[in-house]
Amino acid sequence: MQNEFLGAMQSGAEQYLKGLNELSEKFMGSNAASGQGPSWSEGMEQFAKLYAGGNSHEGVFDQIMSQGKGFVAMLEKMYQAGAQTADGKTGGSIDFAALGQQMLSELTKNNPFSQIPGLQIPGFQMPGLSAGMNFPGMSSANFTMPQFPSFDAKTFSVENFLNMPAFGSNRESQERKTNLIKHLGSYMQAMQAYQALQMKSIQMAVARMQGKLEERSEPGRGLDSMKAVYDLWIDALEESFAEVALTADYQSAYGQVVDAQMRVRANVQKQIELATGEIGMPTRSELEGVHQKLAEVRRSMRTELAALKAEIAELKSARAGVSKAASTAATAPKVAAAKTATPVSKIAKTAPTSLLNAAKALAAKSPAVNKIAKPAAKAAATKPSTPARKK
Amino acid sequence: MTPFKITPEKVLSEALKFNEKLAAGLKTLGQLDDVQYGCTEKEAVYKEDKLVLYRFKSEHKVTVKTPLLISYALVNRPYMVDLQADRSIVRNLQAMGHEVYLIDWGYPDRSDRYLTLDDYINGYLSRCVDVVAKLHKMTAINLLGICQGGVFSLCYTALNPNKIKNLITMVTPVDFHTPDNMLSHWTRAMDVDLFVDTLGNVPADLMNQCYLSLKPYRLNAQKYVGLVDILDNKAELENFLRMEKWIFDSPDQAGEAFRQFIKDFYHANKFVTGGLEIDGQNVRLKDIKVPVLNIFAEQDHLVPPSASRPLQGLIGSKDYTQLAFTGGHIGIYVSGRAQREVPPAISKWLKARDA
Repeated sequence: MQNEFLGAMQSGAEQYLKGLNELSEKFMGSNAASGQGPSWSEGMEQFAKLYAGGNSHEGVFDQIMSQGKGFVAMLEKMYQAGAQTADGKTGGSIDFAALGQQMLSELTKNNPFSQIPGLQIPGFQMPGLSAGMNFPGMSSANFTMPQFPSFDAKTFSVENFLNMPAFGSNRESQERKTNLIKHLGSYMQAMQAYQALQMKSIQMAVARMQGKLEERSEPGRGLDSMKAVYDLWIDALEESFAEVALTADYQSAYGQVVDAQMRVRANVQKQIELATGEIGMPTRSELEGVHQKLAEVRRSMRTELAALKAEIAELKSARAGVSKAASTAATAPKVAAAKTATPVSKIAKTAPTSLLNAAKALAAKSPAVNKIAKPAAKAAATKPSTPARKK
Repeated sequence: MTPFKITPEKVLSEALKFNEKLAAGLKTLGQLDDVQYGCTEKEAVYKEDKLVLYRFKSEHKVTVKTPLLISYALVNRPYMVDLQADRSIVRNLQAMGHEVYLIDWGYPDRSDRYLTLDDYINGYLSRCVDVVAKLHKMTAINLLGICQGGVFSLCYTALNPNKIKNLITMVTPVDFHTPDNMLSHWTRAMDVDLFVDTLGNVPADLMNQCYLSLKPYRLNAQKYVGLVDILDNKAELENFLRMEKWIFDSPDQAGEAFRQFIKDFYHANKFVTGGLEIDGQNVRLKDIKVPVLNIFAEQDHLVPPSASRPLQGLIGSKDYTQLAFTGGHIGIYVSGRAQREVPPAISKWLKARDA
């Protein structure tokens, strides 16, 4: 049995290698693979040379290669599991639970949860952080990262140490550093709780997959390709993830990990801000102050501009009324005109004060509205305090 | 009975076929230029800050009197409605006689961090409505709001009932607290004040990662394994790349508007519970009396149908129509089915109300 299995494995490896070589010949004009050959997924590496790169699709290329390798690794495991059966021809005795664990490890190599989803914030890792916090020649307390002192673990826990009050001339600085360490600790704890839930969902997926395979054992519903097995596995993963992701535990873990990371980030930003401030660099807070004022000015300007435009429109409308009346007066008998035409001074007397003030201002500035605004403003100057219509 | 109808030889053969497709396709991938998007010629009719209001130039006769303004979400780029010639809601609507305008909100930078929902709704959106109305010498126009843009459109219409003739909401969340809304479920435990105070603007990459993590295995793994099947098909590969580009071409979110949006909608669900205020003005969906067409996608994992359906019971309009589309949040704009079903449904509904 052992010999049969090894024979089948060797045969499979040779055939795969031969196939890869043929593909290399066909697509690359070279025979890249040699010897006993790498694992199936490693053998795919040679195809990377086919992608010339340099265009904007490198992200897609990386994803295809990394996920494709996971898929091919799964094929290899399945081949091995199949070859291990008594007759070496059918996959009838494949133990999916065991295989599932192998597949799981392949898939989780590229598991999107290897880091916290949604929180891969560019710059957060800040590789240059410690360097940035230790500018040469700078000896300020703000430029040194917090150091753990040596302590006797029997007497002091880290928690005890972090809860010790800071004092002395470096009190503020020490407190900030202690806080940063506390926040980092909380973040790691929150992260562990979060990842435990991810693992729970993956374990649930393995059980769910068993159920799906049982369903597929019914006549006419068998799986005839490894792609179909893979798709079923993804279904199991997604369904289990959704089940976990909608629980109160997950909601709480998600919130805690996001909040914990924000506290770390805020703390680091604060340290950087203090450090850069000390060497006279403009800080983010300063810039945000400017941005806030800018937003307020922009908002206020928009409001005033809109009001001004409305007033201009009102004035234009009033001018149109005067022109129309004047035109009527020109064509009608003088006596009639005297009865119907509305003098500019009368418009001014009945117009709102804000309008008249605007007219006055505009009369001085805008030639376009000068004709109507000037007489109106003049009339406004002599406007009685009591509204004209009450007279 | 075993579920596997697979022999080791078959597995080996599948592995080699997979490699063959990969080898053939990677060469194609390396030779493809950057994909282009947007197929309909357009002109800017209004600009303000980073916002541009576009009018799409039509080769067809405009037969519908009232112009249609599309208000897209802030979280993605609006060219999704005009992605390519055979996947364009805009082009299809034009062919049916509509004049179409689109708001491009632009990419906010740090200087836009203090933009509020009031700035977006009573400012930018309001001025765009006014510009379109003025261009057509009309007092009220048709408004199509998509996703978050739909939320803005609902607020705007409630506050300005006389400026909108007909309102269409597409994949728009209204009830943010339905039990199947995963995004809302996660968001509710977050301290959004700490989040925005720390980040300022919310980075687009973070938003994208969050969306991808709603279906982590399908969107981060299976999608790319499946892609190998079409790698040797240049046209299909270009379609894929265009979508991929759109998915990851996202603007950062203005911090204050994001804070308000999360608090008012995701946390407090104010469309349903009431008390929503934009710049001191009370926003009540009951004040929406104009005809409303509500379109949602049955398989939407970002805005589940359960979040959109409650609109009917919350607005004051007696003329309410609902269209449930078989597809997902993105398929509703770009799938072949969407092109066949969505624009004709919108057009028919609008034409019946164009008097």
